[in-house]
Parts: sequence; C-alpha cells; structure tokens
Amino acid sequence: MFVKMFKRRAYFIANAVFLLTWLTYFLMLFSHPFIGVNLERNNNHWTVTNTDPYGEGYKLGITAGDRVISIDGISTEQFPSVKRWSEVEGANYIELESSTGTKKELILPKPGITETLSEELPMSLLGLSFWLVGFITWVKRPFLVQARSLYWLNWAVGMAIFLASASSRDFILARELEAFFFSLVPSLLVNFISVFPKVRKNTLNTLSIKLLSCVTGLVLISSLLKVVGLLWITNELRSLMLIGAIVGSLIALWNLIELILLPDHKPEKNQAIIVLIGLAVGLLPFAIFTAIPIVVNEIPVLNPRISALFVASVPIIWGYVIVNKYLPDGKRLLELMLIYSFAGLIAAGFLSYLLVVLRIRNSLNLGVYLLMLLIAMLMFLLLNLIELAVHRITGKVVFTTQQEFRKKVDELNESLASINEEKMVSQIVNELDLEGVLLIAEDDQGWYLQTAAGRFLEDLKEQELLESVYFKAKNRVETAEFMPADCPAEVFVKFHSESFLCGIFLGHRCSHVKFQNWELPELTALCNQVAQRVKASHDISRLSRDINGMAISILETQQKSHGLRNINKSLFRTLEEGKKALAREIHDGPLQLGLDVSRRLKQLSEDLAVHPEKNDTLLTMIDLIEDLNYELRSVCTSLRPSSLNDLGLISAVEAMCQQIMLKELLVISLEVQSVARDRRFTEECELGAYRFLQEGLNNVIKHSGASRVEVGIELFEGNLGLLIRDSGKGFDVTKIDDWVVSGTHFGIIGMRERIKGLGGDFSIQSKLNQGVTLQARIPIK
Amino acid sequence: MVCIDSTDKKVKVLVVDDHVMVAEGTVLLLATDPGIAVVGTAKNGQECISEVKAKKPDVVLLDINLPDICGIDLVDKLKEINPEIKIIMLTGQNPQEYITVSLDKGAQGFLLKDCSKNEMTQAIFTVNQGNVYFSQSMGIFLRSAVISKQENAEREQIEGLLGRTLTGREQEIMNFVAKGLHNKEIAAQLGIKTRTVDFHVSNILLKFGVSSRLEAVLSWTQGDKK
Repeated sequence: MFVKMFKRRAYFIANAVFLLTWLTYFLMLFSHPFIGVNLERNNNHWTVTNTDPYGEGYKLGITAGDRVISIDGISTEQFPSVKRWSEVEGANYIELESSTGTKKELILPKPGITETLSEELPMSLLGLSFWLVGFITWVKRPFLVQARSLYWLNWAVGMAIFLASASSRDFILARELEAFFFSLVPSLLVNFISVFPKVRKNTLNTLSIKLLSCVTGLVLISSLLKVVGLLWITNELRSLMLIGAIVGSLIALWNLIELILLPDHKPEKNQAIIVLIGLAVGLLPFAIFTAIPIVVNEIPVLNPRISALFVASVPIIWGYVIVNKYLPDGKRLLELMLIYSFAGLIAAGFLSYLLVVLRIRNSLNLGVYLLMLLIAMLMFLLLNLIELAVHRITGKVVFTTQQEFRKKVDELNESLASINEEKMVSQIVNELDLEGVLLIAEDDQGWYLQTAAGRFLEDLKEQELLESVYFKAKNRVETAEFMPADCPAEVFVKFHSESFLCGIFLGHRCSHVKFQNWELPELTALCNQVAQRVKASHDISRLSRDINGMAISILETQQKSHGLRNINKSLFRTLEEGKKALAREIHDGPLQLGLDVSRRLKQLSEDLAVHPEKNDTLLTMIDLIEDLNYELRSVCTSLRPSSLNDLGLISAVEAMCQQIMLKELLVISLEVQSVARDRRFTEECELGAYRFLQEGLNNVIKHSGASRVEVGIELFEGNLGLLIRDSGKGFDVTKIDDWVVSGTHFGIIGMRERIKGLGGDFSIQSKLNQGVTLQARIPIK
Repeated sequence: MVCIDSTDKKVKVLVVDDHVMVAEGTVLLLATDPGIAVVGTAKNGQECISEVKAKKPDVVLLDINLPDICGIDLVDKLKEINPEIKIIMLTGQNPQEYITVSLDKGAQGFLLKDCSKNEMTQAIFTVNQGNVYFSQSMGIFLRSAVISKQENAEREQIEGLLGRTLTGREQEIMNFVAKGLHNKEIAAQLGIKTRTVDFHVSNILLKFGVSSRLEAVLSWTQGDKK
C-alpha cells in the first residue's frame, strides 16, 4: 500500500520537478544570451579556440585565436565559467585582444524576447513534448511496465534536451543537471527496451543497466565534486557520458534487431519495426539535413533547431505503440518509407544535375544535392497530403460512384428477401446492371443446382463454358477472383460451407466499366449472402424430405399398432368364446348327466327306504354326485357367468358382488347410476365391463388388504364409466410400464389392453398407502 | 299324494327342457304321481309357447337355459298368454342370480334339477294353489335374494326353516370365518366338504340377516361381547 502510494507519488513529484525546472530555466533563458566561445589556457593566457556560429560571441566578431583579457572586469582566471568550463558564458562585458594585437571591448546585449523565443523555443518544446508523451502514455496505461519505463525515459530525455540551452548559458546547476540527466538516459533506454514490447530481462540487459547506472553515478559524483570545486576535469566527463550514450544505443539497437528477427506472426516484431520507423523518422532528418553537412563542413540545409523537432516523433510513435494493441503493418510502412526515400534520392539527383546543366549552380556538391533531396521529400509530403484531401473531397462530392455502388450492394444485401435462387439471381442482374449471373451449387450427396439470369439464361453455350470453368476453379479459388478477359463472366465468387459448395459468376457490367479491386469484397459478401440462402433453402428441403419420411413411417407404425390392437381384441374375443363354449360344454354334458343321475338315485333311495342296509351306499353316492354337480356349477359360473348373457351386466355384477361378499371379508358398495337393471349392451361391451370389474375386484382381494371397496357403474354420453376404488395399500403406478416389459402382473396390463381394444380409456391412480382407483370408459356402440 | 286339486282334477304340467334326457326323466318321474298329468314337453321357447297355447297347462316346469331364449324372458310371454299360469323355474346352474328376477317376472317357484320326485310334485301342488315354492337344497342360494328383497313373508319362511340361533357347527365355522379363513380352508380344517361349509356360511348370513361375510363377522364378534 505504502509502496503503491509512494510509486504514484513518485510520478507526481517527477511531473512537478519537470515542469518547475522547465519553467525556471526557460524563463532564465531571457536573462542572458548564449555566447558560445570556447577557451583554452595557453601560456598563461586564455585563448579562444572556436566560436559557435549561433552564439552571440561569433555575432560580435570574436574569432579563434583571440585572447581574453578580462570578463566583467574580473581577470579571466577568476571568472567562474572560465574557471570551470573554459567558457565565457554569463559574461556581460568582455575585453579581448586579437591575434594581431588589436584590443576589443565587447558589451553583450540583453537578448531580445522574439529572438530568444525563435531560437530556444523549439528545443524547449521538444523537451516538453518528450515528457508530455511519456506522461500521456503513463496516464493511459498506468499498469503497463512498458508505459512506466517509457515515462521515465522520456522524463530524463526531456530534461536533458531542454537543459541543453540552459547549460550552454552556464546557468546555475544547469550543466550538472544536464550531465546527470544525459548520463541517465542510456540506462533508462536499455531499461525501456528490455521490457518493450515484452519483458526480456536477460543478462546482457541487466548487466548493461547496472553498468550504465554506474556511469550515471560517476557523472553525478564528479559533477558534485566540480560544483564544490574539488575536481576540474571537463573533457573526460564528456567522454564518459558519450561512451555511456553509445553503449546504451548499441544495446537498444541490438534488442531491436533481435525483435525484428522474430517470426512474422509475433506481434513483437511489428511493434519493433514501428519503433524503428519512429527512430528513422525522428532522427534521419536531423542526421541527413543537419549533421552530415556540418560534418563535411557545409552549411546545414536545415537549421538544427528545426530538424531536431522531428525527434519528437520518436516518443510519439513509441507511446502510440505502447498504448495501442493493434497496429498498422510495420513492414508496409517501412516499404512505403523506402519507396519514398529512393524516389527522393533519385529525384534529388536529377534536380541537382538539372540545376548544374541550367547553370543555376556552378558545381554539383553535397549541399545542393541535399537541398534538392529536402525539396523532393517536401514535395512528396505535399503530394500525399493533397492526395488525401482530394480523396476525401471527391469521395464526398465529385465521384459518388464508389459510395453509390457500396450503397447499392448494401441495399441489395438487405433486400434479398427470397430464398428462391432464380429470383435472387435476376435481382442481382437488375440491381447491379450486370449482363448476367450464373449460380452453381452442389453438395457431396450428388445434389446439383444451376441457375442463370440475364445473358447467360439464353446463351446455353456460355453456360456450358462457365460450368467447365466452375469445375476447374472450384478447388483453386479461395473466395473470389477476377476472370480472364476472354471469359463471359468477370468475377467468380466461391462459397464453401461443410459439404455445400456454391460458385457464382458475375457477368460484365452493362456499362462496360470494369469491376475494381475495391469492389470485390462487397461483391463477395453479396454472393456469400446469396449462397447462404441457397444453402438454407437446400437444407430446408432436405429436412422436409426427412420429416415426410418420418411422418410416413409414423403412419405405418400407427397402422401396425392399430392392427395389433385388432388382433388383441379378437384374441380376447376368442378367449371368451372358448370359455363360453367350455362352460356350455360342461353345463350341457357332464352337469346334466350328473343332475339326472342324482335325481334318479334320489328316487331309488326313496323307493329303497324299506331296505336301509342298501340305502347307505346309495346316500353316499347321492352326496358324491351332488358334490360333483356343485363343483361343475362353480366351474361354469367362473368360466362364464350365464347370467351375464341372460340377465345383463348389472344383474351379473350384482351377483358377482354378492358372491364375493359371501366368500371374502370384503364389503362392496355397488353404485349404479343412470343404468336400468335390465339395460343391455353389446356382448363385447358387457363382457369387457364385467371382466374389468372382476379383475379389479380380484386385485383388491389379492393385493389391497382393504375391507371396503366402492364399485361404480355409470352411463354418460354414450359411454359406460366403471370405477373401483379401494382404501388399501396401493402401489407405485410408475411401475406399470415395467410390468409390461417384464410381463408380470398380466391382469392389469390385459385389462388395459382389453379396454383400449374396445376403443375406451383405462386409468389407474394410486399412491403407496392411499388405495387404488381404477377407472375405465367403454363406448357402448 | 297329499294335496290333490280341489277340483279333483289332475294338474296339467308342461315340461320345458332342451336336454331330452332330463325332460324324459322328469316326465317319467311325474307320470307315477296320480295327481299330475304331463300334457307335453318342449325343447325350446318356440315350442313352449305353442304348447302352452295348445295344451293350456296349469304349471310349466321351465328350464332357465334354453337354446333360443332365456327362460326368464319366456315368463313374460307365457303370462301374456295366460296370466293365471303357474311357472316353476328349473335350473341346473347356480340359480342365485335368477331368483329375484324370476320372482319379479312372476314365476312362482324355483327348483334345482337334481331335486327328488317328492320335492318336485310338492312344488307343483304348492304353486298350483297359488303359493311360492323353493327347492329345499336352495337355501344356500336363496338367502341373498331374500335378504335383498326383504320380503317379510319369505324371510319368515326362511327363518322358520333355519331358526335364529347358530348351531354348534355354525359357531365353530364362524370362529374360523372371523379369523379370515376361506371356505376351502375351513373345510380342510374341519375335514368336511367345501359345499357343506358354503351351505353353513350362507345359513349363518341368513340368520344374522346380513349380506356379507364381513357383516356376519362383525355381528358375531359384537354378539360375543354381549
């Protein structure tokens, strides 16, 4: 927390320090001119070694070889600036003697405000801009280590830059501060480049940062020693700083080269290239137009104060790279820069040659050439700006075709209402004024579709030709391609999705204006939209085919299950018939015989009453035969209660209930509603109802453990409603379907099938310990 | 034998049964009785109607189970022809379901086919005098019909027949019934026939005046407490 606060506070302090220093020294610039005279101690005299052409000394006529006698009335020896830096900065009045012996007394004027501004503002602003860019980057991305290191780098660079003018005037502490900040820059640069665009703390970087920090420390100490007057070295200090700067730059460059050598897909590579471009753009103008002429002793083509302004592009581009994640293609920018550079070089050569030929200049020299180069580059810049402006204006006002075309395609894209390929194709032909359109679509299951509109519709030869082109092109073309001039179509667009493949040929425009490259993306998008719709319609038709197939198979299944139901129904009927026949068989045969035998035996026993000893056997026989008859009757009744046939459902059910109540510990309350006692139904219906109740009551007796059961018979809306409700144990209804599978509890399943076979409904409701309610509805027709 | 028609005239009887053997046996049995004259036999409903029209019998011994029509339904038709005609239903089956309906329709008697000759002649004479007759061995089936009808005269007849208190055997059986045993199980326990147990149980229900086993058990246990 504290560290964090301190870190933030560190930035605030740094900002405040920077602004305060900048303002102080900037204001101080107006107090004193830059003299720019370097001295050398020679035979106890201070002799001028060289004068800065921009310095006031040069302007006042001080030349190399002059001897300085006194400054501000103090002996040279004693003047602090001379003493420490071998310079005369800060002087108001200089007395000197020229090499020829002439004595000169120079009074240095106070610098004019305009003059100072024009001379010093650019560098001060450059310094300020470095800091500002660093500051903005840090504000935008405070959590990025790159942004933070860029901030500190720019802070130091900015300081060093604007301190240069102050230090050249030898303002208080300005030289020491400049030296310090200048020596700080290399280590900060390496620090920055070692975390940019990614943190790469390798040994080289870490080591060099440490080394360069030592240099800074050394410079700081020696500067301080100089201030207190213990050390008098000057040139060694400069060399040390220069060495530090060179080492730092080389390491930074090495890091950049490493980054640029990364494979193409790495974002770091692009970032490094753009940083490099920033360096080139920032430093080349200064190097070419200012430094080179100075080196070869020519007059600089560009005032260093102006060329130095280009340096501001370095921090701006670096900040941009850090703040933005997605960047333009650095390679293309580099390419563009190279093109312009080469063009500039050639144009400059040509122009300078022309100047010589035209005798405007006497000889061909570097100054002329560089001037031409500058002019050429400026012309290119101007041309580019004009192009940009014209592009904008024409795009809006004069040539609206591009916009119109885009609009048309957009509208078409939106208005493609149909998924009918013929309509879409002819819509394209009409809206875009094309000669014709041909669409070919296919899938991997042999489906093939070809639709033409416009000219291709009538010309079958052209269609055939385009078809053959399609088969050649479909594997080669990625998305879209211009067709060769001899092809009747101008553009071919391919759409590929899963197993669906679609190719669309767009014919020439009716206006005979060729399609342009920039129109291709729009056309591709439009054609893809069309293809997408064709695919959708194809998918829909395939789906509907599938659905139809499914519907047919469902119908078949239904018919089958209907057939099964009929089989089921007839099965029950056969079963009933069988029971009925068997009951009748028993009744008509053995039972009648038994009855007859029984009766005759009784007669015999009455007749033989007089002979009791024979009657005993006879009575036993009668008893046996009566048992037999009783059993036979029971069998007949349970097989098929004849009362059902004779008396109808209600009577039979009543009898059944009574029989059960007699045999079992169960009270049945039978409730018959809106059915007359002698009301008869179809045999099938009566049997179904009877068996339902019989089976249901059997289940109650066997499984429920209940002592009471309600039985209901009701007639409603052409249906016979049946109900059995007990208050017994109940069971889990969800198991019924398992019973179907396992084939157990066939009673209930059979009951259900039987009722369904009669076209009725069957329902069973139960919960554990809450009894069972069986309900059935049987249509009486 | 005992009751000869007051007009001293033989009772004219028509025997209706589709089983020829049974019909002939019946005719043979009745032929021995001087008070009865079998005027004809019929094998089905159609024949029965024409015989009734032609022979004008006093009593018809009508089998419930006929091939062309249910005997019960025939009762109406015969009554239409001759409202005074007496009808005794004859059945070899479990007669329980039929009793009430037959009585409703206007039949006067109910006989099981294996009844003895004496019983049959007694039935013929009883109904001919305008009374109702039930087969003696029909107690087992009769009870529920009577209970449900609650016709006092008949009920009294039954009660007179059976008495109101349970016999020792009946009490013994009732103990088992109260324990929830079925008739077959009781028969096995007591070493008697199921038919006998059935017979006893229906008598017990009749004596308690209830229509279900459960009610009988309740009456029995309550009676015990008293």
